[in-house]
Amino acid sequence: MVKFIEIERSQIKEDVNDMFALVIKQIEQASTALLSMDKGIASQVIVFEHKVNSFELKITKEIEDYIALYNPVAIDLRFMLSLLQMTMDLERIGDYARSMARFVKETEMKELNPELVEKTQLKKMIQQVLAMLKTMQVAFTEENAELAHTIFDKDDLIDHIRTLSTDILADYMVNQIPDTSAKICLQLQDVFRKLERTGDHITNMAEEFIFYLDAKVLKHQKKG
Amino acid sequence: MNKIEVKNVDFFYGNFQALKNISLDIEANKVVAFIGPSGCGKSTFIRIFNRMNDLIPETRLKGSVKIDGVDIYQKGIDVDELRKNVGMVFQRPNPFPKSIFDNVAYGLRVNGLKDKHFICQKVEESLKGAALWEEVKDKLKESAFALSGGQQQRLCIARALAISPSILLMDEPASALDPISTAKIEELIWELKKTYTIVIVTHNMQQAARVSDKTAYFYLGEMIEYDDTKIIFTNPKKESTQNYITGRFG
Repeated sequence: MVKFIEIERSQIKEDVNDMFALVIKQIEQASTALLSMDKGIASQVIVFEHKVNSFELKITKEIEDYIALYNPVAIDLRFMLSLLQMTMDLERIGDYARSMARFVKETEMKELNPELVEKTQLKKMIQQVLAMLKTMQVAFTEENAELAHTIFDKDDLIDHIRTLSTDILADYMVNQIPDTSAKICLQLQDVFRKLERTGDHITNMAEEFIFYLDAKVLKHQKKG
Repeated sequence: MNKIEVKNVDFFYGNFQALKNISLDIEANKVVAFIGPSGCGKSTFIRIFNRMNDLIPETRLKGSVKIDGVDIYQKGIDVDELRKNVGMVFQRPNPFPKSIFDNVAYGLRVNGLKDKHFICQKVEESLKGAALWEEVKDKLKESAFALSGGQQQRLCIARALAISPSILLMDEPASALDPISTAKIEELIWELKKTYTIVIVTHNMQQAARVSDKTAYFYLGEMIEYDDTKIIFTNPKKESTQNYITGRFG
C-alpha cells in the first residue's frame, strides 16, 4: 500500500482508539457517579459528552474522505465500513453514559439502597459492561478476532441480570419499600436498560470487527 | 455451453513461458476482466482468443482453447473467419486514414461485400451500437482523425461490430481516454454485453470492478484467481489477489 494512504489509515484507527478510551472513561465515571450518587462526577460526564460527539463527526468525515479519495476494496473497504459502524456504536454508548449521569444529577435520592444494589447485581452488571468494553478495545488494537469472539458470551450475563432486575424492581415498587419510590424504580430500570443496550452495542462492535478481519457476517446469527 | 473454454494452456515466446497452465471458462454475454501487474501475461492471454499471437514469430501454444465448442487451434481452422467472430479493440484508438463511414465499412468491403444499401445499413447499425451515431451522422464523409480520442475509440468499436462478431476483446480500451470518454466506453460495454461476450484487459481496478461480471487476476504468467468480480473486490480468496487490488503488491 502507498505509504501516505497507510499513514491515513493508521491515523483513523488511532482516532477510533482515542474515542474508545474516552467512551470507556465516560462509562466508568457514569458508573462511579451512579453507585456513589456523586452529582459532581455526573456533571463531568455530561460536560465530556460533546467530546464523544466531536470524535464521531471527525472520524466519520475522515472515513468519508478515505473512501472517496482512495477507493478501498476488500479488507481495506471492510475496515473502513467496520470503523464507521463502531464509531456509531461508541457514540451511542457515550449517550448512555450521559443518560446515567443525568439520572444521578436530577434525582432527589441521596444514595442507592444498598440492598437493592446487591439484589439487582448492579455492580456486577457494570463490571461486566466495562470488561466487555475493555476487551473490545484490546481486540481492536491488536486486531484479534479470537478475542472479539469472547464478547458474545459475556453479553449473555448482562441480558440475564437485566431480566432479573425487572422482577426485583417490580417487587420493590409493589411493596413500597421506604426510600425506594416507584419513580426511582422506573428510573433505575432505565439505567439497567441503558447498560443492557451498551452490551448490545459492544456486541455489534465485535461483529463489525470480525467482519473486517475474517469477512464473516455474524449479524442476526447465533454466535455460540 | 460456455462461450469460451480454455484448458491447461501454456504459451511460449521462444524459450520464455509467458502463460502457465491456464484454465478458465467464460459464459456468453458476460464481461470478464483480466487484471494484474505489467508483464503478468494478461495481454498475451487475451490475444490467444483471436490467434493474434500467431503473428509473432517463434511463439507456440499448448493446451486447448475452444470457442462455441470448437478448438480454435486445431488444424484447418480459418483464422480470418475466427477473427471476424472475435473482434478486437486496442489501447490506443487506431482509425484508418479514411472517412468515418469508410472506417466502419472497411471490414465489410474487405470481406467482399458490395451491396451499398446493406453496407450503409450496417454502418449505421454499428455506429448506433457503439453509441456514436448521433454524434457523427451528419459528418460521415469527414476524416476519422477529426474525431476526439474518445470518439475515435468508439469508432474502432463500431468497426469491430460491423463484421458481426460474437466476442469482443478489449485491451485497455480506455487507458488513453479522459474520464468522460472512459465513462462512455464503460457504459457502452454494459450495453454491448447484451449481444456480445466481452473480455477486457485493464490496469484500472475500479474499471474492472465497475464493468465486469467476473475477474481473473494474473501474476507471472499464472492465473492466481478467477471469480465473480464482487468476490474478487470484497473478499478475494488468495492473499496475492488481495495484496494486488489493495495496492500492497510488491
